[in-house]
Amino acid sequence: MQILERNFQTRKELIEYVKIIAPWANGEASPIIGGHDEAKNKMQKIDPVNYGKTRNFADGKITKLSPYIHHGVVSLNEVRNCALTRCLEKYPETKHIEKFIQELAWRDFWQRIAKSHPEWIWNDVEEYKTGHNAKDYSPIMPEDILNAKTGSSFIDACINDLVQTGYLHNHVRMYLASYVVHFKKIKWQAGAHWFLEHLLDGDEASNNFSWQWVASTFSNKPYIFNLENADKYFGKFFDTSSKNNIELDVSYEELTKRLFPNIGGVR
Amino acid sequence: MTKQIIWLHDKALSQNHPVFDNMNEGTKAIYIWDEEFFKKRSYSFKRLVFIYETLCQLQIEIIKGDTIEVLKSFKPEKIITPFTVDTQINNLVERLSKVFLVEIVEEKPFVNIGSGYEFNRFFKYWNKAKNTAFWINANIENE
Repeated sequence: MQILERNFQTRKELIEYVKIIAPWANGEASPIIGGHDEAKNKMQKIDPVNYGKTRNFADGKITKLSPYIHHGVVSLNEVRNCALTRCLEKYPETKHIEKFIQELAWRDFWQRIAKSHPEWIWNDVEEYKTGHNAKDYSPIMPEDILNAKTGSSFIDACINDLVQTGYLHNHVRMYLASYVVHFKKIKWQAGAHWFLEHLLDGDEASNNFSWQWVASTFSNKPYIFNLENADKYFGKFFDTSSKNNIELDVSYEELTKRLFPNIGGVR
Repeated sequence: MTKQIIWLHDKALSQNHPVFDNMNEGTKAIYIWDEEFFKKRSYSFKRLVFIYETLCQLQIEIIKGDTIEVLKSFKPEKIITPFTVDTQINNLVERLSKVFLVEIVEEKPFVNIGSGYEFNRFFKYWNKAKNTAFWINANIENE
């Protein structure tokens, strides 16, 4: 039994110390800083009203509080209370902050499901609604995804963000999950495990049930996207050119035929 | 012998968690840096740094070792730990419960839905949740 150090002069010193006490762990530190102080900084910057209008865009007013919420550094209650205190005087109608509060509620919802059905966390809650059986999906993550060499610039950039920062915009999580499950036909469990390894906010309940939501094993239909959608929301910051994203550059009609040929499209 | 131990895990790294509400002079609060547990999770280095940075801001002891063995070494009368849905932490809690009295403390609820409800789609949950979701502390103190 060894009592570990808690006082460091710099972040660099702390990172070096973690290398000593975790010699098996791969990768580098994220630029995202842990701790309650940083969580408080981020809380002071939340903008619930504009969040509702811009959250789907790469530069939308998202909070990036999820790593802190996942690790219990701040609770859902604290974040909600902060949003209400800040906004309700100026915007007394709750509709202005409904999307923000609803996004917090998604986490609460997944936690409640996991509490009542822990057996669902790693198992298909329902059948795939893609016209394929669960056994049609591979349990192994392919090397081209793990190495960010898929042939799609947009997808590769998203993967690099995941691996380097441990954080992804929620919309990007949906794109990547959809790509893994529907374009590559990989079991959602393999993708969920991959995300949990890297995401600073990797939470078995929120992560796995969201993968199931995309896969359609815990929703009414599979979630799919195409290059036009990626370009609309992320084109300002990522390479969403047609020539570098041929696999994604397809209409929804063609895509549903290609991905779900057994049911003739489900979108 | 330590009377009671607050054992924090990485899903509840806050001094504001209700697990600290009954802290008294004889209570020790610890986090156990358990190599085997981390290896099983395949946590990346960046995730471990994030956790460690957070731990350094808490008024707790960080102890390296096997979770069960470290807790046994204190011979506590009771272990108090935050509730989580995490399956692997709950496996540890189950093993601990065979040896010690374990009290599990939940976070304050986000919404006040009452018991007996089960939802398998978000908007069914939301139709109920929205009644208290827009209140400070879900209006629970005022009930």
